Amino acid sequence: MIVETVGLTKEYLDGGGCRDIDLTVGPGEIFGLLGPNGAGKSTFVKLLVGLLFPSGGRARILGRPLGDLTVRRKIGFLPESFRYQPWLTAAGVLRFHAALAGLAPREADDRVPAVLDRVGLAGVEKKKVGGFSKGMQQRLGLAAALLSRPRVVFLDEPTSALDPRGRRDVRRLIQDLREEKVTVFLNSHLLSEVERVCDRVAVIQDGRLAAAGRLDALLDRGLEVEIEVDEVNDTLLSALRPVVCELRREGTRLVVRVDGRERLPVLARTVCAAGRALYALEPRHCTLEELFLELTSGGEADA
Amino acid sequence: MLSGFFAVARLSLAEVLYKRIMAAAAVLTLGYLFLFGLGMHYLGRNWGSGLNELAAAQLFSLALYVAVLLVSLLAVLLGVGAIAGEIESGTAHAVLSRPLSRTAFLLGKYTGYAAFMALYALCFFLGLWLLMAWQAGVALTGFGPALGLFMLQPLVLLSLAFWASTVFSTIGAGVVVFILYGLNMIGGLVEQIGALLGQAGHESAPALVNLGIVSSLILPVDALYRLASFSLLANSGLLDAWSLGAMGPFGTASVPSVWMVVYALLYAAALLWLAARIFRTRDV
Repeated sequence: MIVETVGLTKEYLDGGGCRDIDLTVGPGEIFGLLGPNGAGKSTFVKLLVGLLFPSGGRARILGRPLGDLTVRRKIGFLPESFRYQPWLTAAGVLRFHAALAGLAPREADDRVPAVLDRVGLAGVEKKKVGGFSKGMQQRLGLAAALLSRPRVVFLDEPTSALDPRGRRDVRRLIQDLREEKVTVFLNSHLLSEVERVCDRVAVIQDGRLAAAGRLDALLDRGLEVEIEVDEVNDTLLSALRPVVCELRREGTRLVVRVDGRERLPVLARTVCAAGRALYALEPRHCTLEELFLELTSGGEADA
Repeated sequence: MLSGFFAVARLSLAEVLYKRIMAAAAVLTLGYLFLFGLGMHYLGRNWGSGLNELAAAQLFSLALYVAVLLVSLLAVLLGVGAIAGEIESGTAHAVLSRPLSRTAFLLGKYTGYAAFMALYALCFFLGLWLLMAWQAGVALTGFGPALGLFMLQPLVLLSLAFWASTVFSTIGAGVVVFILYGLNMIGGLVEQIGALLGQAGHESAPALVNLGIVSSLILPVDALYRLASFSLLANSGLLDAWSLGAMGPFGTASVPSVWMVVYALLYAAALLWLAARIFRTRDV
């Protein structure tokens, strides 16, 4: 396993933090960590990269305990809120981080322009970071995270300051990393981003793990179908109940949940057999946003 | 690990040199030295009257005291944000996730800042000494020990500021260190007044001297200044023992023990060790 946590806990005096988190992330996986603001996502990531010290539980990254310096050579990290020395040039920042990562000067000479090019900052090597927009700083942070050819990259809200083009670039970058077998741990509340790139997700609510698993499995919660008929009466409701999992009425419409697409003809026949005129039978797929809102019970979704 | 330490040290030194406050400090220091030189120039004109020698010694002693004050303030201003400032600004987040131990980061920063402070103190001291020699024609003795003591003061304060910076916020660390420094300054003055009163046989003199010694144990910076001043002026031929004491609270009527230098070195090392120990387990 690339990341393995057992009961990982960080408690703050104000009650925040995260508690009893059990998670595993495998090699080459794109893993998304979701949760409303203040749920404990950043705390969890900071624990993994060694910025915070756990109050309980244990964790291993690349098979080594948290804080192991040899493992940190193989880790890339883009923090959520960070700042680089404004008086340094982009190349200066990356050379400094290359030295910290243990890269030889010659290797740094090769890597610095390569990662700048990769994040769309080619040609700004000699520009001072103080003059960078927030989006450019975020791209530079991404470049720093990729500098030492990491085996696992932790990205904490990597697209929060980026425009739509920047977000698309980051999406592509993550997909490229997947092809290079690099594990990506993506911490985000932009659900559409997560839905597009992640293999597995976990949802944190109030510091605790609310759900975790493959995205398709989490979203496969049955098929929701909207039925529009001329009139909803007791005969129709009685006829439908045996063939659906859930049923609720929304005005002249009914919303039911069935096991899968193969139940749609059965639904249509049942409505007609109950003597009602069927105007529409519309399947609705569960989105990550709906799942997120359900799990976080009223938490805000930003996507 | 070592490459990370040197990278942090180099960057910290470059960071200090880049700061605008450092350019302002350099200009003001030059202005200060110019004024000191001007004063010595006029005093040097009527050399041999006796009064001028005393005035020159007083002016030098006062100039050294203010120089210590300026160097100390700069060391404190630099040091209090060394760790806390990096955490507050978010710079530390990207750096401390690298394969670099917290101790190497802290010592790297200290080395960078200490290199600058040592260089600044060296230039300041040389400026005062050379102006004294050039304008007043007096080559003060004890140059080496005094220079070492002058350079040691900001390093001790830097250690204290680093320790405070690992415990408090930047502002909190600044408040704590300035209060301790102020306490030490007042303690030093009280000790000298006590020693002068002791020469006149005043009964409360020992208590005042002991107060000063206690303040030097809390922060041994003033004692280093007194030793530096004594080292330069005691054998300069400008003053006899009585007039050295007659220079008032800026003089050295009560000469600290040379063991205070050893204490100051241990004090600085202990604070750095404590800072590293605290920082190793601090959440950032």
